[in-house]
Amino acid sequence: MHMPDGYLGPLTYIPMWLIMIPIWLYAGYRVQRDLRSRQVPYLALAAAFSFVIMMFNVPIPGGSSGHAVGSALIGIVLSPFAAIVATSVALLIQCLVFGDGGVTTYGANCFNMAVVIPVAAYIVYKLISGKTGITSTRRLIACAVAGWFGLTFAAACAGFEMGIQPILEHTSSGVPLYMPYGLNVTVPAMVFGHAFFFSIVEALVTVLGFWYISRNDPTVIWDYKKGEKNKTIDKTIAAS
Amino acid sequence: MKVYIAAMIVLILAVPLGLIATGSAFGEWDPSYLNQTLGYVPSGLNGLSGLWSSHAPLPDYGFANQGSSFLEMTPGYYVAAIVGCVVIGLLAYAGGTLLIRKRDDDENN
Repeated sequence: MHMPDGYLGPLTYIPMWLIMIPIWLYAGYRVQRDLRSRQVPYLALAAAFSFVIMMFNVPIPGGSSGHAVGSALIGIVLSPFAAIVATSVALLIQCLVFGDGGVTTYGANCFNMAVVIPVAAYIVYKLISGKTGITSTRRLIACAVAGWFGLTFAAACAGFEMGIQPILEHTSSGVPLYMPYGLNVTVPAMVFGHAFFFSIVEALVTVLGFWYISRNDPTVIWDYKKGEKNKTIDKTIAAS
Repeated sequence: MKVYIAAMIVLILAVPLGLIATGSAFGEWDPSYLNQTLGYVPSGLNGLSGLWSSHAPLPDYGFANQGSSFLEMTPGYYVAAIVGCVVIGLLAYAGGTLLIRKRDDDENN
């Protein structure tokens, strides 16, 4: 999903850069408001973690490949805003040092991977977990679905951004100037590849990470104190 | 924290697994691939292609001019993993330090 320079034309890449600016500013503001100094090393670790996860390319039938991003887990544990910051940092270095993802497309790549994934994942996670205890099985299921959905939805967004290029920007004789394939190709390709393969990895990463953290380090979870007490502990106390 | 660092080390050691997949991701093809498949390269794409990536120090997570076999790509991939983690970790740590001021004993936590 790291769109290289040339796949999006300026009619798309400029607005995508522009909308990221207020998003980055707001994410920075929320990180400052919601996170504590104890979470700073976790933020650093999260960014590095996302980077490493993205190095595990998964081959799929048809010859293509892709990867999970890990930002669903970051969104759930440290907040979607922290995920926006951490993943944007990872994407920046991937672009500048490794040439993975273009500079014109950096805004769009951040929107898809650093924003859509963690925000969509967090919403799904909250909807499914409800008020269950932090170690409940339902939360683990919520994490899996959240990870799967976040990455799949982000892939659909990227597919959409690419797929509109031929209609949006072409020569006077109709020849595409940027991504040459239309929505009928890009959206199914992106959605199926992710839904059946890479998003499964994202789901697994999200569950495994949350499983460990919720049972061993729950106080680092950014919204842990905001209401969802550990019901199993409360029940034990009440019973004794 | 120790567990997380250990997990990161395991992940970094395992990165060459990511080299097994050799196909390009959808929409990340080299212009030459488009030329082969479609018979042309869209002119806007051609113009912007490699805008920065041709100057990247570790292009495609490896050394420039390394071979394309698994063994030839592994050392560069390890270097990329370590360089990436260190640079990204430091940058995110710096960003976090600049942004986050609330201490853990603050009442409103």
